[in-house]
Amino acid sequence: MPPGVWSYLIRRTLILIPLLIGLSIVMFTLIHAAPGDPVVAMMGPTAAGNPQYVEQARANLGLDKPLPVQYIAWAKNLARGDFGTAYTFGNKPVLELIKGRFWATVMLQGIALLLGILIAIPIGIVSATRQYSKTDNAVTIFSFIGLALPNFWLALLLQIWVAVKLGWLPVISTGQANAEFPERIKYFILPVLVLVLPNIAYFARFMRSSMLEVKNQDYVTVARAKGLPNKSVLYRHSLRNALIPMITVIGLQIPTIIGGAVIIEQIFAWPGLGDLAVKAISQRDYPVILAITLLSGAVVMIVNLLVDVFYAIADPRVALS
Amino acid sequence: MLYDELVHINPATYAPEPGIAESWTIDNLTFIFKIRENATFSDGSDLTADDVAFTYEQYLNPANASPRAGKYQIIKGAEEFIAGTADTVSGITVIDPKTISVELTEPNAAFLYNQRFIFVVPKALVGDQSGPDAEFYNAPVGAGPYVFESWSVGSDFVATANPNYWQEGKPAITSFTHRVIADANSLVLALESGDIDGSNYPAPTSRDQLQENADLQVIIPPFASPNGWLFNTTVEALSTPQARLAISMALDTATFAADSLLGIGEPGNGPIAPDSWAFYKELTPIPYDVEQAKALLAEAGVAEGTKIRFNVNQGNVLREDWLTYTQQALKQIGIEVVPELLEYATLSDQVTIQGAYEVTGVDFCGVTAEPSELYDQFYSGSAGNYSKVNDPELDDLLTQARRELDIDAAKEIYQQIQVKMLELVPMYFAWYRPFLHVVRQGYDGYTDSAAYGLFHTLEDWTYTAP
Repeated sequence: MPPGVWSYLIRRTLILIPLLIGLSIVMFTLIHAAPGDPVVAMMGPTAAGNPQYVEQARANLGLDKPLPVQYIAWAKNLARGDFGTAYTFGNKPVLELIKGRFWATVMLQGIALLLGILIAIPIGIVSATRQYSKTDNAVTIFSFIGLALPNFWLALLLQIWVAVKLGWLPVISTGQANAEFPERIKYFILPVLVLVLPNIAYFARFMRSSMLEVKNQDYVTVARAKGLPNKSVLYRHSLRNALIPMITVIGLQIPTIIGGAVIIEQIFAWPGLGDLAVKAISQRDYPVILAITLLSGAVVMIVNLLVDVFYAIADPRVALS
Repeated sequence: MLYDELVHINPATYAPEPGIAESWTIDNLTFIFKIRENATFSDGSDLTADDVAFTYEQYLNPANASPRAGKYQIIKGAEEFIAGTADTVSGITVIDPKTISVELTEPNAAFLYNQRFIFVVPKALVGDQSGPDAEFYNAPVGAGPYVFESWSVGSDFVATANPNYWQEGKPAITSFTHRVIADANSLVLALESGDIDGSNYPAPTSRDQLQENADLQVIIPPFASPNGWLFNTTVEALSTPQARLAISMALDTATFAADSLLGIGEPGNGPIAPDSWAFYKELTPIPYDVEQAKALLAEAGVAEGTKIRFNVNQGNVLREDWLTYTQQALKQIGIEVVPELLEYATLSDQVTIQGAYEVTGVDFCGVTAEPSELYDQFYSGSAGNYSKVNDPELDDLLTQARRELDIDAAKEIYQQIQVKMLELVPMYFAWYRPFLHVVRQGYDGYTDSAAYGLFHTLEDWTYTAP
């Protein structure tokens, strides 16, 4: 551990609190300023046909009070760890709703991210050590294809061929939450495949250029001049240094775990946060939207903080201050 | 499915049929319902008149803020109950454990139909819980053909057959799973792959693809949803029937239906869907006549180049096409359409609460099963009269129809209403929106319904492996 990590962590964590409060105020105002009304969205056009109902429903939800009063009531509950009750989704407590969805999303995206990293890093290394070889060219072509393929199109293609024509896997993943372990894997395969391909392509490209950059550094030349074996130069000197920029790249990918799977979750009917966010927005379910935005905001901030700390650990030249 | 209805409505003819109530008598203002001896809740407890009375009160209880409260406010004493000046509704009398009497303040033709929303709940279990987040709904108990098994939000809803259901030997389908699939392509593929057995919602564009699949039965249901343009009659350019008629006449619905409705939809005719008993078969549709439209527009004093805002909900492909078609067609008569594609919740708020629209293409109006809903949509004093049409003659007809209990007499009034609506044109009912209902081969015994979909009478279904 480099010196000052703990005090740095504490300081940065304390800064998170005003940031999150600021974010919540902005989000609260924006959501209420957006056109549309939760009561109408909930009950459809019949609602307005019964003004007495609209008024009562509004009062039940506390929407009849002035906005600052509503915000303070919401923030007070939040301070006690209570995110409120959803307007829709069976009126479940927001926290319970998000917990279930959060794990579904993290599991899907986490697997796709981990697999992506594990596959991409060796590919990137091989590609860099054999620059302009046939393997390298193949990797480059694959990367461009992987990055260029629209994921909804790939998803549709896989659904048609693997699920419908061959009948090997389910088209949608809704049943997975109730399935037991070995059975459950089959629900993951298609969505993970769609998500992992661009991850591999993206990380492999980065790993390759990062390795190439390190290759011509003075310390690598020194290592070689010392007569170290090739393997040792590659793994102990080049790779360790080449991995440092990867921390940033991977760190940037992590927040998309929360929000990035909206389209894929819709296509595979995956019961995750992206799917929940879309439904909550179209229903104007304010407590759920707020909770999801706060959560994504918090994840971005925390991951950024962790990236900074990891940087300091991985690279002694970086000082925390 | 989980709760049974006091009165069933035949999904094909929309005629009231015995449900939890095995019979009833109507004496002008008083309805007496006889409850089935063997009607019990799924936990085995007896379903009594007390439970039925309790269910009415749940609709009226302001704490529940039920959007259907209006359907039962005409019960005698309901207003006092809502205002909190009475603990019970004086018009509701429990005569004996299996007989209940309900007295109204005025005759109402829709009241019997509205008994289909009396999904009887057990008074003993609900007690004084109120609101949709009541504990009861975590493990609901009803008297329907199925019993709640499990549900996690975003995942499957599972229900199994109710062993205490009053219809002996039913349901034959011993359990069902309800899945939500948001993506239209995935829905069709899930039908093809067998992930799901049936759906009311495949996009009509996927008809050919589904019909090619020998494992599926593809049903094109009767029309239920008249679409077109609802005019805000308080907007100056749209304030005269001539102007609204002119716009309608400039639109060639036959061509639109042939080109854009995938060979399933059809040009519309009036506010009542053709499947309803109240539909007037001899009704002459508004003709397509550009020259007359121009003349009418001049008569109405609408200047050349007048801009009018037309909105539809984004993502509804057929309505988006309709908007594009309308924009081009109205150029011929010198009206400049300002197209607006709005997200549904935004549009709904604009039209229904704010009234800040000029013309909308969303089907807020038009009826199938219960024609007296036209009263809520076009009576000048109704809060649901989004067109703000105000015509004493129409008001009078709508009021009469709503109070007429004799179906033949009501039919005649509805004929006049339909003719009148084509003269006043608060809405141009231009085309019927096509739907597809799909179910796997092997399922039988279903009654497809324009208004309720395919699964409404799941208790009557059977399955034999094909």
